[in-house]
Amino acid sequence: MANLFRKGRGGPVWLAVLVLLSLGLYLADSRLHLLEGVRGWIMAGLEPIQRLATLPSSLWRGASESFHSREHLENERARLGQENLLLKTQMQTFWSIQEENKRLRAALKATRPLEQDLLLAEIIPVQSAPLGQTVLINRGAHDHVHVGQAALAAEGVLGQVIHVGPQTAEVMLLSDGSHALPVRVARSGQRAIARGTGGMDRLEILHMPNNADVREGDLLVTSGLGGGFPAGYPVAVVMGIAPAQSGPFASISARPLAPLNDPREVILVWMRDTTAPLPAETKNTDGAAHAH
Amino acid sequence: MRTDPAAWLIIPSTLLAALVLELFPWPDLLDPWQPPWLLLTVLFWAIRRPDTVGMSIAWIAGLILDVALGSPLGTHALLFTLATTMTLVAQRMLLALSMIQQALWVAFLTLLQQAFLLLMDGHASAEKLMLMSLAPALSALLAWPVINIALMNPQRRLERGR
Repeated sequence: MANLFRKGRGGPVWLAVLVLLSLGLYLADSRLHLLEGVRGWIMAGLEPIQRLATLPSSLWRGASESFHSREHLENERARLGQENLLLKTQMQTFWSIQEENKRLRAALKATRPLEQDLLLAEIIPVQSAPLGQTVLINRGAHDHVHVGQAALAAEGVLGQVIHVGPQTAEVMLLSDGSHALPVRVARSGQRAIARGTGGMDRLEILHMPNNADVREGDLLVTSGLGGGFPAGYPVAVVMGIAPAQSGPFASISARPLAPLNDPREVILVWMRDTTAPLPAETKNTDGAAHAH
Repeated sequence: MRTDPAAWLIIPSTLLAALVLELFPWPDLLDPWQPPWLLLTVLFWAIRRPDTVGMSIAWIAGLILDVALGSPLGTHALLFTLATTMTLVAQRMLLALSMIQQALWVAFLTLLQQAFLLLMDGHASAEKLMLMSLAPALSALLAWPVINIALMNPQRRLERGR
């Protein structure tokens, strides 16, 4: 071992080898997406280190939570109870609407909607790349998380899974400059692409014609086109529309609904055909999905 | 001169500690000001123990950081290797310089690395680029004495072991 490293010292040949190796890795990883497995192993090894790095902040959070007054907790409980009651009441109509929707679809012989499975994940607050907007979550290949999977917050779409380790996964937020998501205007059905701008509170809406039926305040929901993402989840609200002086597309900006600045929980979504097997058997990009 | 076994215990554990520091979450406002702990530690050992910590260790450290930060594999690996190579070339001179002068050198390398990372990402505006590459360079300047003090003891132990 030591020998190898010493030989490397200062050798221009060894430098060339390492540079080429880096470039090769870069191409294989970010262009060809071949190295998820390698990344997964290293992610597994990094887990204890990440735990250690978040230990002070989680201890702090634990300590400050244990000092909450009884009154505070009582209030919290009462508020959550009320919220739960309201949500349950809303769900009553939801179930009947879903049944109705199914019947109508069957009557129209339309394709069956996909069933969805949900899993709650927690965010591990470690550092991420300087401009990249990613968060690490505490679910990985062992929970059948896969690359490209949709990640939601309670308010709307948060982003999607880009890397998977055994117990952890990385989620790219909507606002990342390299994130794009097919959406449609909930009111008019007009389709477009929502792309991140690098800023937490602004998305760009691409490919929306000048004469498209879209207004300020319109809700954008996922269109489900391109697969991978479930349809109908709220993404953003249209903020400003400026018809382009030249070119066919308007320049539209939208404000994401999910709290991208400070996401606390992440909900992962699996879509499955009602006839297809459970997600345990669905395809997994990382071969390590045999726990449970 | 053979590398003594103690070096293979002490140096990796300092690198590991630097990685933990690197991953330590900072408040959003101070985020760009986080010093590149791992790079600084690698460079420290490259100056003090060039026969042990060279390009290969730098490359491995960079690769691990790539995975930890979720950047494309190979980016930090490449930049760590290049920064270490430049440091090794100037190693004799750097060793003779004062801590302040060394700090300027590592700040310069941090600036280069950061600017390259941001340019590669391609989504940064000009002023963001300035802030986000200058801030870590300045904090590297301040962190270098901290690293030197923190690693003085492990380094002494290594010297004695020789």
